[in-house]
Amino acid sequence: MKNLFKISMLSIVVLISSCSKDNDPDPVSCELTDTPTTYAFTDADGNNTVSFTGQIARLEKAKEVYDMMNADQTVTSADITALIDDANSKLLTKTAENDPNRAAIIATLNSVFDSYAASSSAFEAGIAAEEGVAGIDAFGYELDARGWEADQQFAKALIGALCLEQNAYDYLTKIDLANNNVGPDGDNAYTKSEHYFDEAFGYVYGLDEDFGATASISGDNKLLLGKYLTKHDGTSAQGEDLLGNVYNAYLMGRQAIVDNCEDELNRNIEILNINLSKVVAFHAADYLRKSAEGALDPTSTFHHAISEGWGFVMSLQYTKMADGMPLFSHAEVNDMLATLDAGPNGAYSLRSVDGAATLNAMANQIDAAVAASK
Amino acid sequence: MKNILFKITVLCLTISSCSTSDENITSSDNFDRKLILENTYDNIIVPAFNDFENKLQALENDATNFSNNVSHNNLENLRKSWEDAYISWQSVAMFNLRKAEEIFYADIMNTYPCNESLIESNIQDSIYEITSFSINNLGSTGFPAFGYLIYGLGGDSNNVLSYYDHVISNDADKYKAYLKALINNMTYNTNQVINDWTNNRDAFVYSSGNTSTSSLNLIINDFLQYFEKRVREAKIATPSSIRGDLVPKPNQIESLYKADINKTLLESAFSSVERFYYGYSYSGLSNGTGLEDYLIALENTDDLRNEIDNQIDDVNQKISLLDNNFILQLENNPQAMWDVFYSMQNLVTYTKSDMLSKFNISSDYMDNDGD
Repeated sequence: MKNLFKISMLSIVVLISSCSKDNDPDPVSCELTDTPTTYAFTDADGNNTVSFTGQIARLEKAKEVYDMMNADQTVTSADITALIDDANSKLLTKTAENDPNRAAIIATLNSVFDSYAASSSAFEAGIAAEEGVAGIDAFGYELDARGWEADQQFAKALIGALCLEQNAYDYLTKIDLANNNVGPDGDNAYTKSEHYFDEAFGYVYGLDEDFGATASISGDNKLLLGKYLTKHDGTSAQGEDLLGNVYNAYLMGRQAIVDNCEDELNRNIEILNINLSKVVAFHAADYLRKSAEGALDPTSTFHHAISEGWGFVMSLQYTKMADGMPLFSHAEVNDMLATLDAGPNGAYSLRSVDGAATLNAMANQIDAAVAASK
Repeated sequence: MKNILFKITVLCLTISSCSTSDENITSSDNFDRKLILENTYDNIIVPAFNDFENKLQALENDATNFSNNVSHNNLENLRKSWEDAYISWQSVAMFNLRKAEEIFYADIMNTYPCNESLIESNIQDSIYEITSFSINNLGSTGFPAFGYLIYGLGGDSNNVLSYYDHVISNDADKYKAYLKALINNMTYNTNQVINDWTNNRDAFVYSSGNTSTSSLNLIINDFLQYFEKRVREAKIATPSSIRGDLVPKPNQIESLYKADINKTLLESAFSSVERFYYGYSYSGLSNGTGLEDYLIALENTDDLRNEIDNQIDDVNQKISLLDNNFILQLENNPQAMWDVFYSMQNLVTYTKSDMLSKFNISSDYMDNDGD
């Protein structure tokens, strides 16, 4: 209920700001004084104002949970929960933080943990995975009895529920230039608005080797949204230069806060929302299609791919397009997830001509939603 | 390090902003790509499927005759029709796009080696119709399964007849039923694919742009993928174990129970590769527009075309040295199979890397990026 209230308040703010664009040309429309090429900002005294340590800690925690679900060791659901529910990293409290359906989403993630924990002794014992039997498959992936790989479901779901949600539905919605961009936030060099924006940035660049000094996201530790964004540099078959768009929007958006330019800020926030959303939509459709392609191929890593697809589909509910709406609602996403697991043997039941048709149809549906959102 | 990274990024940004500015990316050359599609459709795909349909019809007729009258003669007729259809199949297998891709046509028709125990259990379960197809049916359908039923039962081709003879076998009806299920399944799926081709000439021919979903890109990718995965890998690399321990695996050959047709199947498959590249008609009587003609229309491709020509000759020459019977070939001289592999490997390089980049087409079956 509380969350619902927050959301409606937020949308009022958005409405107000979008109205004020037209009526009030003065503080909102101005030109940037600089066009930065790297994500480094200082105050008038030269002090660094960029900080996103909390995001780094959270992404690192997500990596720890992911690693725990990859270790071929027996764990209980409580072990996973204890790791994830860390007061310092606040990973749990930040997941789907503002979502009116948060309880249902956390329950779904918990069911993924439960399933992993229930199968983990089979993983430790090295039992071979087969339809109806949890174990390790021929490629070394840990599959539950229904052919789902929990660490992929979790990590790819977190791309939406954490990284994208904290951008599109949290930090990027609460920057208030008029009231929170005047002076330092407490003892810090940054203003509150600057810090909010950096925190959003941190959810994408937090595990980057150079922490966003350049557009590309590199390093062994990369996981979650940044890892997938960096694939879209416009040079590969993956199409648009979403990486360039996003990095540039983070640079110009942050500069807009420095210069107190509301129009510029809002313009860049919209670019961020749309482009980050497209990354999620691309990989949801792509993994569904790859799964369809490999459905009847015993040498394909089908279960790994479809588990990634599951997580990206889950993430679709946190997309935010030009109209401020997600590509698919919570209910629509739940329908899609239910379809994926509808067969008597879960993911295994998708390894058929009919299953592949279902996967391709869903991929087409996602592509169509992106195309229609323009 | 940082500087290099940054420079690269900037470069990428610049390049992409040029190339993605236009939604409808057309090829920069003046070659009319539609000519390849028209020729391929009218002079290769349609006649090849016509021929295959006829051969499959003959197979169905002979299977019915054999079931109605189990005799040595009728079995021999059935075997001959199966062989003819299997050879003809090699000319349509390449066109694994559109409906064929959607229904996993190639997997249904020609997954080998077949799964004997699965087939036997299907027979014992009195399966007489194959309706839906999943990974669990893999290896129990199509030409390889059919080959098992007419050559492989009991491990002795001379003894196959007894399985269908009511006097000797209590399960004769079950074997006949499965034989019928197989041919019906092959016919049903083939008809679906043929109907799709028949009704969609325009959709195919007029999709001549250069995007990942346009006909020419799809069919060129299918052509390369077919040659690489279904010819080089499946027919040569896997049974000869070139990527593994080099210990030949004769049980992986395409026609396991009638081993002396494998060379013919390979020749037929490689002919279909040549046919598409040069633009020859299925009848062999005319030479229309193919990939070679596209290369001719582009600048600075003389060397590449010569290399491809020479390599195609080399592959054919290496194939000609093989025994008809691949079991014997693998036992006596696996090196000759490896020679075919290496020659095909060179051809893959010329076509997949060099030719595709001349066409400015990207490969859509890159190996998985591992995440």
